[in-house]
Amino acid sequence: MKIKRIDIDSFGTIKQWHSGDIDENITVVYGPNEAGKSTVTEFIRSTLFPMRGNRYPGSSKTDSGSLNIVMDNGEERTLKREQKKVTEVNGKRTVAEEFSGLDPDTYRALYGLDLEQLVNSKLISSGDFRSKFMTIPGGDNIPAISNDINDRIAALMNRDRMTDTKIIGACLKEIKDTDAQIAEIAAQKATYDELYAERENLKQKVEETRKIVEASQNENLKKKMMRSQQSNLKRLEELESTRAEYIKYESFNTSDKEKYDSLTASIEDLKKDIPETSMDDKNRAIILSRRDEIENAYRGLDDYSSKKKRIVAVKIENNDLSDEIKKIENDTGWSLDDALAVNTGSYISSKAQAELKRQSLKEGPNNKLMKLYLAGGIVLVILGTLFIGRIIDIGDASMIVGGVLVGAGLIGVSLNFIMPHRSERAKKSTFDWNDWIISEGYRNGTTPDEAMVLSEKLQRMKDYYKRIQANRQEIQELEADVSLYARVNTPLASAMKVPGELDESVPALNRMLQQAIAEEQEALRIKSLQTSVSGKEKERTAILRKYGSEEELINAYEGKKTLEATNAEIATIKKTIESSSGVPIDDLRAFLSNDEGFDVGELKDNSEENNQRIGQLSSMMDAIMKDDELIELQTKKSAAEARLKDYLREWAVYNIARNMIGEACDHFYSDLQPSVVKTANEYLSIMTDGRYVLDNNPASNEIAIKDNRSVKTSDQWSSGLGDQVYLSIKMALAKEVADESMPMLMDDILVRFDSSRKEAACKAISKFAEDNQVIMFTCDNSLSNYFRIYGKVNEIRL
Amino acid sequence: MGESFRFIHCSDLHLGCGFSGISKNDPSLGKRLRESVFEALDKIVHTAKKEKADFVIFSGDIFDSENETPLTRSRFAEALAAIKVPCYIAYGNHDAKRRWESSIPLPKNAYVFPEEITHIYAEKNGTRLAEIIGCSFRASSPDADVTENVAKESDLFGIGVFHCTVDGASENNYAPCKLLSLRVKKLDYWALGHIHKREILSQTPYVVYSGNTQGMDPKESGEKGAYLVVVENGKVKDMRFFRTGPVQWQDVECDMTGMTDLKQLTTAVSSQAEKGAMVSLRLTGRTQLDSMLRIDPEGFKEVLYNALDCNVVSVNIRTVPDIDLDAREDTGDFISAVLNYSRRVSQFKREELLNIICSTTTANNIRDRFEEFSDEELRDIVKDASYLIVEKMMEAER
Repeated sequence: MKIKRIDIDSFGTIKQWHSGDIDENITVVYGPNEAGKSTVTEFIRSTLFPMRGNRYPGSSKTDSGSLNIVMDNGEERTLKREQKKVTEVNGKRTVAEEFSGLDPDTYRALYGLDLEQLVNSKLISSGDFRSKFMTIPGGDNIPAISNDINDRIAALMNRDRMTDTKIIGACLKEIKDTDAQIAEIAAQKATYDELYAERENLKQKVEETRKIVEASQNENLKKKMMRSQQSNLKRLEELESTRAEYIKYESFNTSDKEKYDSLTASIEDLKKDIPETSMDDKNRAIILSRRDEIENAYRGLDDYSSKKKRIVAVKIENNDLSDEIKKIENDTGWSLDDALAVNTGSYISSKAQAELKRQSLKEGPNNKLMKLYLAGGIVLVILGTLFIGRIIDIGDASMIVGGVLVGAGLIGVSLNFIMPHRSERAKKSTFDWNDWIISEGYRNGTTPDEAMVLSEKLQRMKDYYKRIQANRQEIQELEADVSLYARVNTPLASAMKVPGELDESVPALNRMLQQAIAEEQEALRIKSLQTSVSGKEKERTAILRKYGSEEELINAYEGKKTLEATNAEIATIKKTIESSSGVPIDDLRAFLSNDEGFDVGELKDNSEENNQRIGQLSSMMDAIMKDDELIELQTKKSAAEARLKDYLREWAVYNIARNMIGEACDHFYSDLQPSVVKTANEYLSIMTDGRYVLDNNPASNEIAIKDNRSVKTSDQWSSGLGDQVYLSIKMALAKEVADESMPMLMDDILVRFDSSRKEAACKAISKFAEDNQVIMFTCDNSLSNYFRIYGKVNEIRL
Repeated sequence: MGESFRFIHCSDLHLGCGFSGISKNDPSLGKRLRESVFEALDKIVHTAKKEKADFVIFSGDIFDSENETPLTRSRFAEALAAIKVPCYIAYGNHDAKRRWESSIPLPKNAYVFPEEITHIYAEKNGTRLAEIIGCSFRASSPDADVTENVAKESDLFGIGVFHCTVDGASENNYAPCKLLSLRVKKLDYWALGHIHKREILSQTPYVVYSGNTQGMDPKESGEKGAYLVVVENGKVKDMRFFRTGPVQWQDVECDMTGMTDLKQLTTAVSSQAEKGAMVSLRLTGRTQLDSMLRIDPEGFKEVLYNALDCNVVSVNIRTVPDIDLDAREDTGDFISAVLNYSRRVSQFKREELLNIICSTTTANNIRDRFEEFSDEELRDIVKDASYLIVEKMMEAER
């Protein structure tokens, strides 16, 4: 976009000013100081980028004017201004923000250059702008990474001097301190040898003293012990005289006394078992002599008693049966003898039953039906034959129908022959009941019903009679057995003086026998006890015979016991004396007979102090021996060394990394520069006669320049140099940042340059103006001459 | 026909060792580690009794230099007394001071070789079992080959007990000697000390470093112990290693490729690490967790310490960011610039790298400490620096 005309009706101090047509890319607007150069600049800027709070001049109700512009595509537009409001002819509000893509601040900083804005570096060093236009991909992160690495290094160690507060310094200090402590402790150890020597010396002294003291103590102790045995010695003498007294019993055999005592005791025990009362042996002998008979009687008693009971029971039954017979006789009027003479029971009753059945058969067997079977059958056979003989012809079926009909006819004929004719059966049962029953011995006129009942009753009578006969036979046999038992045993009971019924006397006999058997066994036992007692008494007598009397025996026994006890005590006391005195008894006797009660004098023992000193030395040595501390220090030191190595390695990594970043940047920016930097360098080179280029170290946020000797940061620039650097950068940026080429307004920005620099600057600006419009406001008449060297210039006066 | 017997060969007990390489200053852990060397000694006592060893050989470095204190010496003396059978001791370079020798004498069953080569005979019930030849470390001439004049006096089984370096196996080449010259000396078993790594250098005859009895630092990982040597009819019939070190240092490498959360890592580490072991963890692989490990390594370590039931003594983060670094180098953006430059830096000489690291006054003041980093460590530092930048830039992009 280019500005074609500027028409100000009223703006600040300017009234009715018209630029006329602006054709060239470079326009120099002359005006002395206070002529309103800045006001015109502000008018253009604030008309293109209207915004609140325009800085200069203060907004006024009379503000009005217009800007004619030509877009890059050739379209012409007129921006009309009323107070702050900017509209186009068609009434549309338009701002350059929309087509340029710039905001008002950016426009002012890059395109609205006065001396103040020229050196305003805020925009070009800010992150976005920088990363977008001043560096290449990745480069924008370098400052942060660089800073981070610097921070890490700073945490490890200062750049220029050692400090204990930083990690590596602290490590080094720890190692140094630990070394000092180790040396201190190691020095202490040298004294160990001295302490050891002193302690060994003292130990030896204490040991010697101990030996001497022990020797003297031992001597006195020995004497004391020997003296202590005097009473024991006296007692030994007493014991020895007792021993002489009892020595005669030495050969006594104590087992004799023990046997004698045990015999006496067992005789007493046996005697206790023998009863004093005696038994009736005679009576017992009589009973035992008939032991077999009694046992037999007792064994047969149950049989005898039960048979007797059976006889009574059977007799009663026979009486009952006789009564029954009499009852039937009365009932029937038939005597037993009569009954026995005729047939009875089922023989008669079955005949009567048959008769009753015969009588029940009805008249009229249907012989007509049978004849019908026969006639029908013949008809069917004839008919069938006709079919077969094809007399009646019904075609192929004639044979089958004929066959069937002949078959059926034959069945009908044969039925007539097979089925018995009822008339014949009736004929066969002509039987005279009455004749038959009389022939059997029964009364005339006895009906089959009566015969059935009567024959049953008579049969029962016969049965009873038969039972009575059998019972009589049994009674006879039983009575024979019973009388045989009585015959055998009744004399036995009387002989044993147990009269009465055998049912009672036989058990009594058995009881007597059992008692006799028990008494017999007891008698045998007593007899054996008595034999044993007499045997033992004989043995006892034999022992006594050896010693004369019981008293003598006891004396010898006691004497032997005393002798043994004395011997034992002598042995014990001898042992005690010898062990307590430490010498044989003969030596002890010899010592005591000569003892004058003299003791070895005791030595003074000064070991206590020595032992105390040994204790002291030992604890001092122990303190040194406890070298855990030393080893711990050494471990601590080696841990610190290891840590230090880790940290140093880290530091080395960071230093190399930092170097790499720097080198990479240098290399990178010498070969591959961002186009803005390239363009800016071109302008700067023009303005400084090729002396300086930008030093865009990506590791630094600051803008710096360098010549072939050194890098200069902004604080090292003269004001003129600064203007040159910033003008180069801003023109380079201005070429690239906007979507539409935008006019650059320069408000006397070359005043700090001398004439040669001015010319160089005009050359650079002309270069820039090949593509962009430049409107230079100045009070310097000479400027257009410089510009004219490089191209055409529009000149306007204010 | 020679004799039949059995003996224990151990070395480098380093009693009183303070342990290093653990950055965590945990008093209880420290105590446990300090106690571990004594536990290893107890284990030797126990094994000597259980296996009915006829004698025990200590091939030097019983104590840990300045850490030979009265306490450590008296504990050693007690252990020897408990072993009861003869103990043959050649002192090593770490036993040079022996300040408490006179005040805390060793028990009667202990024999200490003097600095001159000495022949003694191991006996059992009056019968000679073996000829033992040895000497203690000579502090006055540490560069001499102590085995030079060794020669057997008898026809018995010959054992050499020395604290020395075979074929320059260690940086401080104490008492150097050649394996070949040992092998021609007609001894049957060379019981050597000084090298902490267990190794049987030869079987004809046996030339053996039993290694130390307890690992001292993360570099001494794996099982540590001693040998029970069974001799039958004058020939070594069996060599049985038995573990003595209760605390094991362990190298655990974990490939985190494809891992997306920490739980996966702790599970993977747990499956490899022995419970209670001192674990040096090395993380490798391309993982999206790389950014977390790099941006907050301290926080990550804290989480890891708490989640595992072993002791993580160090974490070496060697993972790479989850991006295609090669492809990224050509994109022309800042990450590619960093990667390109880091490739150049990784070709720098040691001095150049140290100059960059010590570019500030304070760093330069302690340059000697930075000098301790090995070339490999320096290369890892360069890688870590470039990955740190890459992760940070990716984080910023996100």
